[in-house]
Amino acid sequence: MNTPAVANAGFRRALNFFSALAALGLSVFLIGALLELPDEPLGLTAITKAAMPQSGVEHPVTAVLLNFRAYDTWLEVGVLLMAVMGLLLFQRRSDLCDIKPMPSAEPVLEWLIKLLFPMMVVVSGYLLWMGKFSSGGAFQAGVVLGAGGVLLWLAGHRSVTALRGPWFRLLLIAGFIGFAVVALINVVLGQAMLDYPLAQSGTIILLLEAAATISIAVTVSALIIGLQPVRPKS
Amino acid sequence: MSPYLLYSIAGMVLFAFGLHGLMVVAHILRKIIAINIMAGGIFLFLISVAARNFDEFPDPVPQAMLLTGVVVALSATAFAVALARRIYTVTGQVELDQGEEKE
Repeated sequence: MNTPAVANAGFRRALNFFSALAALGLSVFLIGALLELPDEPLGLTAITKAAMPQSGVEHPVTAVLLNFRAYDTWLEVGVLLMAVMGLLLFQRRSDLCDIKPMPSAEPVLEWLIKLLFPMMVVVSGYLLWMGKFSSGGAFQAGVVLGAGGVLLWLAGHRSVTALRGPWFRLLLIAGFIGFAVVALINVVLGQAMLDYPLAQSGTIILLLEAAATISIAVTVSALIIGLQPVRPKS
Repeated sequence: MSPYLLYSIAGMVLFAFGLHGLMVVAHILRKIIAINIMAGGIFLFLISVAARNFDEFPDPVPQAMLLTGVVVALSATAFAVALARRIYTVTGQVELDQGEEKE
């Protein structure tokens, strides 16, 4: 069979040993660095706490995510977009319409999904709304909704493959465009990008999160469903 | 030992052994899993650091990084699996070239 693999067994064993040693050394080094950390808190908790009244939301994580470090979130939505773009690029398609649906699920699963999917949509919406004052927000909501999309697909529904090209692309970029629009308006008004007026802050954050939720949901479903082979052209 | 330290150390060990796995295994899928184990270690570390800097609430900045990081890791993994699948379709290989001589 594969002769180089046999010939290189000794080399592989040496590599394994060296690599294990290096990993062990790295662990010891990292743990040592950890124990060296000074005792007083070094993080940004105090700064965040002081800035909370200017954020327009009540939950510190949402404030950091969508206000203080909104650039970060904007570009992370961009990373998701790039992942799905990469997938579509090397599969040479612009939407997922040509993917053959899975065989229909048996009645029990079908019934379960009829029960579960609406629940997932509601949970997703609630998570999105909850971000203002508690743990929740765009990313959690988007992933729950995206999982719902995958669940639909697994039961033999079309899910995101039903979205025609322009609609598919529009939903994919909604989150990124949301941030871009806010940034552009701010630039035109002569303010810092992604700097919201305090009075509208909560509303803007909710709208941005809603757009991001939809994008994340479609992205996550598309990435998983997009792994299916292309239907041969007839 | 405070709990945060325990979680941080576990995160470090996970990271190091994920790195070991990444170097040692040849199968692409196993490499992807190794990268995910490394990411898991980093997530564990970040969240334990957030708990360490507690002042009324845990430090929200590492939490926010983690929150986005999990979703980014998921989509990066899906992209990597798609690439692996493409490699398999094109070359019929599921293992990366380990540098040995080709005939």
